[in-house]
Amino acid sequence: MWQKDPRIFYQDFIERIEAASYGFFAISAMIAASLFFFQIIRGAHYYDRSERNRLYILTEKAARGDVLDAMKRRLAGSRTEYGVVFYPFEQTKSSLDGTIEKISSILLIPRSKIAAAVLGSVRSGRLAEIAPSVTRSQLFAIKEEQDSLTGVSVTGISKRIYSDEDINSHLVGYIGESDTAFLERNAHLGYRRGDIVGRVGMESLYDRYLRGDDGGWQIEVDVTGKQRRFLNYISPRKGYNLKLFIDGELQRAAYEAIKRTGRPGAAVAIEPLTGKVRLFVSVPGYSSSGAFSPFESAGKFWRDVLANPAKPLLNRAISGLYPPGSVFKIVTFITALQKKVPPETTYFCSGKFNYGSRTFRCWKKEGHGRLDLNGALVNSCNIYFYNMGIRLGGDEILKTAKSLNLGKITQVDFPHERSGSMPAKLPAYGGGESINVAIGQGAIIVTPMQMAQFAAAVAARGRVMKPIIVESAFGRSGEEIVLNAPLKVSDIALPPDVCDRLGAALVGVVAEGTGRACRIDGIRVAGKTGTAQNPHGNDHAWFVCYAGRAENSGTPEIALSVLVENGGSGGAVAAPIARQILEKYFDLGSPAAQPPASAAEYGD
Amino acid sequence: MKSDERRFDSVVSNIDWVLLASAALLSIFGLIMIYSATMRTGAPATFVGRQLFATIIGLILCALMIWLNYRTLSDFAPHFYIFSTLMLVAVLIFGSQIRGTRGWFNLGLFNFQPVEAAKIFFITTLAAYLSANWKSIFRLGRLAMPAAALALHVALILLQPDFSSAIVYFPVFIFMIYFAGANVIHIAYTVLFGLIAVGIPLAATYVKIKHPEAIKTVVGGFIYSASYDINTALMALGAAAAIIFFLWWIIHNLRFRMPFIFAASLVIVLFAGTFSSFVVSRSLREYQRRRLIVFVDPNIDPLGSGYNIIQSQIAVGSGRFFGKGIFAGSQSGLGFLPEQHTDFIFSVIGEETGFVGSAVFLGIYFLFIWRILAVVRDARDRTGSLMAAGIGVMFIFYCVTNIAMALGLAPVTGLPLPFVSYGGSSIVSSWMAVGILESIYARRFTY
Repeated sequence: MWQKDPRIFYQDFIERIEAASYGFFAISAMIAASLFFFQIIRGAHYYDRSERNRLYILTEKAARGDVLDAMKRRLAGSRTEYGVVFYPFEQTKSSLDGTIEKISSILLIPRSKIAAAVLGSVRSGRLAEIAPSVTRSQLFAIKEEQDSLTGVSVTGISKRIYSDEDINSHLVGYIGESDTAFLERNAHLGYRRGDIVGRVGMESLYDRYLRGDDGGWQIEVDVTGKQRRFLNYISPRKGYNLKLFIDGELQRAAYEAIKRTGRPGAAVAIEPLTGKVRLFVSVPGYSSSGAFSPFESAGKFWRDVLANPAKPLLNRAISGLYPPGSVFKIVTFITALQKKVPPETTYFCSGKFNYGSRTFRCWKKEGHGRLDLNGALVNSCNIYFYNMGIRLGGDEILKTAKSLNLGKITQVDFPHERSGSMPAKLPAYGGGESINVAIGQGAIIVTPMQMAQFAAAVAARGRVMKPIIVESAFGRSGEEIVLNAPLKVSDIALPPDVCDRLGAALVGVVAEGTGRACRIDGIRVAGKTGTAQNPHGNDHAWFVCYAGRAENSGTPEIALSVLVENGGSGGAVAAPIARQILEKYFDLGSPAAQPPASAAEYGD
Repeated sequence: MKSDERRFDSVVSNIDWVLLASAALLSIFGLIMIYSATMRTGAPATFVGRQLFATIIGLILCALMIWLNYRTLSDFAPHFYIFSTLMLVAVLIFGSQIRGTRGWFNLGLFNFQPVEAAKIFFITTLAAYLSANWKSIFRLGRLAMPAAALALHVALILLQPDFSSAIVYFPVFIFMIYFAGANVIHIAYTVLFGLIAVGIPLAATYVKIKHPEAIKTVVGGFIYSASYDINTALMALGAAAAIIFFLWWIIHNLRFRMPFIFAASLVIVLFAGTFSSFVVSRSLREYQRRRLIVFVDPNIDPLGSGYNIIQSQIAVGSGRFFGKGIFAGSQSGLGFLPEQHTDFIFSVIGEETGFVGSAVFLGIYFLFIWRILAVVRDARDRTGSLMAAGIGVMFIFYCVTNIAMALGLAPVTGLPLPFVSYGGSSIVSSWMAVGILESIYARRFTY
């Protein structure tokens, strides 16, 4: 009873409540009635069904799709086999002997052999493979005896095969079993416990295409576990195959070239106009197939990989963070021209540069003498760019860098990409920071993928494309799903005179400057070396370039970034690797191996 | 000081112990059933322990709510609404993702689902608003504000996206404005709007799965594409609007008295409903649509979503009169039941305790709801009555949809059974609601 309202309003309210209550009573009565119907009237029927009819679904896992390179060479494939496995989780000691006896008589495998596998499994608490393949009659014999064969199961076992796995490991990734953490995130996509799923790389990002539809036998089994009826067989369907833009041969050439230096590194190549990724390697790789096996423990693999000081699990191409070093001078160069600094501006390099109380040095101790903008880039003169940094201001240079998508993720279709970093704003008083920024030191951090996208953007006159690795998924009946088409990220449309001057300077770098080791007859290579200072050890060697055939007047066909971790001089270490990659790309065959270059000869 | 004590004493002495006892019985029942339903996992104690922990937190909140005068909830209604909205926004930004839904705050020891608290605050806020505007609530304009408040919460919840939690807002809203005295025609329009918004995506999915050949015909293809393409939808709506106005014109010329506003508002509802259906369509996941469709026709997906319904029916039915005995259910024991400790807990109850147990269980629920009605009746003011009624609708909706789902009479929507289903946030918010009910009831004599 409401204290402050007139009674009639209360009565109106109660009438409405009562009207709704009738609805509630009706629904309650309906639920009670249907409960009566299900449990009393049809109870015997349902009881019967629950006792008699138990549907076992014997899953046959679908094979994962293949991963193919641009020439349809197979990078990853799979093979399905039926095997008998033993799992120790439901085991009691007393039933063990009986199980071993029975399974041995069905499979016609000696007792001792099975006993060894089973005991090993019980001790280690892991699945053990008893027989790698079985016939259909054996399979059903096992199903027939299922209840007395605790812990024995027949499964379709899909084995993943990788070709050149060390080379392509970072690109393709590896697979694993879905665990709790994975299911928490993905159960709504139809994943179940124990599914084989991609963990990293293409295997992970495109898992929904690569994984097929599991099939299997539906068997009706009665209360004692005896097979009653063979209901249905649904054949598993293989997943879609993925076609990449990657060139497998180029992968091998790049991997081996970096590997010869004995250092970790990465190389990424992108077609400037389309963003197609033709090369994606990170050195060292690992064995993709070693990362997961349905039966054997992969512990040794993981121990080795994690203990390896070269960190083979780090995907340097996309997650490796390095200062860009002198490569960044390209950005300073562009900023200078955009800010209408006359390219004839000269500064004198004596090898030393005093700013405030600090002294900055050029990589060339005796100095370059007087240089103009072009000469400064060709010779990678630090002093010139220090001056330019102060003149332009670090913030302007960073603005150009950001407009070329540096400091942001490249949006490549690859999981777990790192974005590197660009300082948001420099301290107002810090001329010293502008000096650092002008030569790509300081807080600027990039990945090799970003540098490749950057090189491609420079080659495409300021148009930044999204790097795309996978072209399409194509299925069993030939249907093709295009997954990526060229997509523009941004476009700052560099004016033609800026592009031409920059192009000429970059060609100069390779023709007569610090990038001479990448000179190739018949190919117009425009590049920039970089030797990034590294507080933790030796300098990182960079070489970033784009190249085209001279007969096509050098129209850029490919943009490339090469990084060698702690490699030292970019000109001496990274540039020759780039040359080998480009020779492979332009199919020039491999000329006689050049003698190793020395840092003193090439410089920065 | 002394008077404070006395007031609190009077509050405690006026509590409805039957309501409290029935909720406690349901909680205990739930703990036992969760133990039974999770035995197969090998660690039922973990589940029961976590549920018990949540129940204790819920009891603490319940006590807090009893101590807190429910008038505080209505006096500061806007604050509570803003607070709950901010929680829903924050969870989208800082929340952790579980099963594809970004709806949980990870608080280390446990995960907290803000939507569970948000809906309680929504009810209290709505009650406060409706009772403050009770003189003019029959006007449509007065409903705009609560409708906007509803839309904001639902939109934030659908962004997570958490379809199941958003559903309960609608019956609560509709029944509360009805109790408060809203015009029945307005409510009818609101329901029509909701039916269009949810019906279009579901009908499209149903047709796509069941009658794909219909899409290939000209008319079928046109209607189907209107469910996802905005231009086609506009054309279809234009046609519908033309027909409605034409019909009105005929009726009008036949000299029947029918205000133009009827036709106009019908058209507006049609348009608004269709555009909202695009939003619903985006937030419904494919598997959720399938679940809803399977309810209409379980044979569409006999091994997928339909499998759950069939297995649940077998479980309940096989319990017969006395049940198979607690901890002895074979359907649940063998793992045939999906999500048997959360959404399908009633199947376990049906299988293991049979008709007798289920009836007793339903009886306790009935008692609980009956006591809520008493709170609604005896509250000392309109705000209290409306709050209690809103909470009552929420509980009834949860129980009815969940039990009907287990019996295959309602779609599989993933709504929990209050006090019984495994899930910490649900149990905490249910107990909090009990606290609010008791707070209203205990102060029924206060002036």
